[in-house]
Amino acid sequence: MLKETLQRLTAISAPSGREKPVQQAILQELEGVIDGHRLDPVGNLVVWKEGKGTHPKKILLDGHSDEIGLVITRIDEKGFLRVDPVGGVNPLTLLGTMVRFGDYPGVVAFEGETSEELSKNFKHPSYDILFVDIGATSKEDAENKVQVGQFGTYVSSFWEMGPMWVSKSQDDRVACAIIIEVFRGLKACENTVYGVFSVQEEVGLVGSSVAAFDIHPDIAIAIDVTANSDTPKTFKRMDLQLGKGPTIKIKDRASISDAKIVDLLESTAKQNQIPFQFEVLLFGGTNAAGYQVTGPGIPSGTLSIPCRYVHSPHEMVHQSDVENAIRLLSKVVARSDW
Amino acid sequence: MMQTKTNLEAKEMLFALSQAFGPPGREKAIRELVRGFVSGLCDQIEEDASGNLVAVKKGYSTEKVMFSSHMDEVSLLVSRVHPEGYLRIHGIGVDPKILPSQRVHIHTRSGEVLRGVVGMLAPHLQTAESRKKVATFDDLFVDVSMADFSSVSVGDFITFDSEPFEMENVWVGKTFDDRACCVASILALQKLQHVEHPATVYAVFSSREEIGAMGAKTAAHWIQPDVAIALDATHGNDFSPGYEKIEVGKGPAIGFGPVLSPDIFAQLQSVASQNNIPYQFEACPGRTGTDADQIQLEGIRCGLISVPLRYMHTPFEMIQEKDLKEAARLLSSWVSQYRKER
Amino acid sequence: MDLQALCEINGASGNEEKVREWIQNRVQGMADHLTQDPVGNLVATKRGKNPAGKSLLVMAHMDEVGLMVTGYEEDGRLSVMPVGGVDPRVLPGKKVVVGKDALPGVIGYKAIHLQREDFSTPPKWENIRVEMGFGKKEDCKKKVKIGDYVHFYSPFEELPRRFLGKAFDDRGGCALLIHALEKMSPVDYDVHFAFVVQEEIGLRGSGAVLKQFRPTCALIVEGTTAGDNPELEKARWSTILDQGPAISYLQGGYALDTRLLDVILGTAREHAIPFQMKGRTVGGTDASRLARTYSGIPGGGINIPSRYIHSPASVISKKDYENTGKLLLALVQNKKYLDVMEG
Repeated sequence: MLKETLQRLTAISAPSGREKPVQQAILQELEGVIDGHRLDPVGNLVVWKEGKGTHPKKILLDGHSDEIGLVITRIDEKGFLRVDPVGGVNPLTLLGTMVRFGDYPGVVAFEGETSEELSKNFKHPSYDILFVDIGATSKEDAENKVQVGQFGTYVSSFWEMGPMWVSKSQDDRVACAIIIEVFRGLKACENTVYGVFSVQEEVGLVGSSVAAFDIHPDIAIAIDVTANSDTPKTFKRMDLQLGKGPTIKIKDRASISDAKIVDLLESTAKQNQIPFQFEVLLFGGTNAAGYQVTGPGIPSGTLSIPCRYVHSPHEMVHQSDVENAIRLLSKVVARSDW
Repeated sequence: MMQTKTNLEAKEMLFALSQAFGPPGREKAIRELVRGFVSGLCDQIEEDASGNLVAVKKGYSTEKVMFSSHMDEVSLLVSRVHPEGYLRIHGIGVDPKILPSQRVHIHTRSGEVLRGVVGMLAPHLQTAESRKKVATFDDLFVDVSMADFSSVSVGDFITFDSEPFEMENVWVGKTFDDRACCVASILALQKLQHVEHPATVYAVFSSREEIGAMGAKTAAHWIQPDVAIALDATHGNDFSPGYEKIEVGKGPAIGFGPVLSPDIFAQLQSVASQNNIPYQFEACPGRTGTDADQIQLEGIRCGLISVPLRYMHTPFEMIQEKDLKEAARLLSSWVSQYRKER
Repeated sequence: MDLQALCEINGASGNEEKVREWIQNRVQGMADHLTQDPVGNLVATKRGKNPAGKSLLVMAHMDEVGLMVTGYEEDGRLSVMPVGGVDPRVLPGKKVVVGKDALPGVIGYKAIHLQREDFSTPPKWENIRVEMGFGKKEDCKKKVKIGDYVHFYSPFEELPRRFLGKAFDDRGGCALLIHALEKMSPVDYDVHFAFVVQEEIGLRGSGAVLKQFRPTCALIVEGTTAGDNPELEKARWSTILDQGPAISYLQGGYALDTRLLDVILGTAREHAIPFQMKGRTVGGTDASRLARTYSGIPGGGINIPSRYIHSPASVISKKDYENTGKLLLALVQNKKYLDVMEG
């Protein structure tokens, strides 16, 4: 079930600002296991299950529904497309990659009038020197198929490679799948659990800055991918291994997790013999930063899934990390002793 | 149980705060010290969801004023543990160039504090080329092999091993940014014991300033004061090209600029003149880099009082007692007369 | 004319007082309700016939970029730092005005005859100096304070096809808001015309507007960069003068609301107003702030293409200015803009 859900969600093209299709799919997956749902003004999908306890705490779990992508800024005289990134898309990962705008796939290529210029463009890639070829025969042909202002994403598939799952948008559909599984497993829960499938995280943590304002949760836990340090000569200053458990984030560029959340995640993991790691990420940020400063403040933190090749068309996670994250969060939401 | 003497000396409080451990988001020890210093000086003490400590002292009228100084310190973090006893680290507000040969404390999750040294290759083993290199976090490591280090883990916070002391007419120590202003706030509360003031005072000891003033933002949100003042350290005696120099020992600096309220600026100037408080100007053409930035974003008019400080974000920051005390006097004088404009 | 008067007022971020006073006087009779908040934003509200809790927030910012005095030289010159995004390279050889009394100054530069290797070094903030004719620091100190604002000296000119001056970003927006407020026919919903402060130094004013009310959605009117000149490849131009108001779909920190974007495009087509899509997605507007504040307000953006923004000599197209005004008025009166927020 988990794998199928993840496969379905990662296949959908839904970059920041265009999350509706994946939110619809998420709602379908949640049918029968939630008490209600709504869309807030900026488009966050908020779902909930009421707690059965006498003094239920409100726990918010966040997975962002948007993925990174591209937007068409210009269609040139011959029908080639110029694009800008939606979120952090390194132009290097685009070279030779297939992307998709609506029903139309396109290949990304770099400019280079001479070998020297091409070489320079490889060394210092930017959106100024790349374009997308959708096989249009003319400008008019292209304009009949796509339009300026249209959003698109990578083209990719879902692969199972040993214990690994590989596809585009594990960031952050893996979190959406995790939250769906937690809701599926919620029996008579003491606490009220909110699932926020937030929008526009990749362009600047927009959705999470406002989603909790009217919810007033007691705590908020963002679930997102993090980097890895277990492939050849990768970041020597970090320690993040696939298959060693989900990671309890201490710090990234956007926030320092609340001690309360770190302690809660750690103690729950230990009590239930769930493997975990501590995480210090040297770059990047998650939605926890948005929740932390909502209104009068919400104790917030992040539980991360180690991931290789983040923001590429082929993001890789370890199956057991995802399963352990589900186990851990299911136990966390069931606790009221904090 | 903390001391509750109502008139602790500035030096006593500052040196105690300086040595205590309190990186952003982990200010518990500072909170407890401050709680001890302010109980007896206020009507209520609250700890909010962000970890801010707020001391509330009622006034006789309806105005609300807030002043904010931050409890957190710049620090380092363990990002990787090597089995031989070396730690890879990351910095929060720290210049890697001051780290070689520094002694540090590593605070583990069990509460144990380990001793470490930031390692640097001895001159004998260096090449002409490596001598020219500037230290970055990628080149540095902390050696904790001196004792059993099995309790250390990724995410443990690391602070400078530095004890404050007095020399000539200055005080030096870590984290005077911004605990010197925490002390100034407490001194102001001491002075307000003897004054009938109209406004209800919210003395905020904020969390997480060093990573974006996140504590002050949420405090301002729930307090919704009429006006606020941020207190922070500013660069003294160190020259910022293009800026008039602010000097240690010449009094607190009053900030001016778009983020700061011109009304509060004028009030502070006038209060300083009336009370013979020496002060300096600090021009801030954009963000101030203090709690004021976030307080203003909450739609609240905010002023800025700064204590001039040299060698900011190093283990031996330098201030003069006089500046700290005059900052406290400026703050308490302004608070005691603050009334909403009619 | 409103645009000329507004552009000629000196009002860099944090110093918007005179702009606000001018606007306040101008809209006094037009609005049903006029408020100013503690950070300096001005909101003029036109009450709806039957609001039923719905309201539209239309926004433009009053501040422009400028400079601030930060130090004195012994010879009486001033050192300055930017307030907002000013490229120091636009400064040498320009006239400026200093302080509340707008005393004249010039940003001099070393004569070409005297330059050696420094001929190829670009001007940097540490070297930029304002000359006011004082020979000594003491004389300068009598008339100029640290913290005084320095503005570009830039008289407004109307030419056959263009307007030339400073601060079209975003006095152009302010002038069009006034025009819409004046000309609009009554609608069901409340319309709040917000003239905000400090956009240029990080979208610092707009959020506070949401303390007064929670609008259904927002529309931001900005001056945006063009770049349509021979030094930039056509593929990298952001907007092109004379092609009409530029519509935003993605910007720094926010993907503008897709439902509102559709209404903006539909309205432009319906009223046969020429328009263009912005060609670049860099730069932010207050829409990015509003989407992140309190419960979040979704927004759309329309822009006046403007050459050489953030400099003393900015240029906009008269046609674009008029067409942006037409589009704004049509949107303010188009209830679809609010209706799409439901469901």
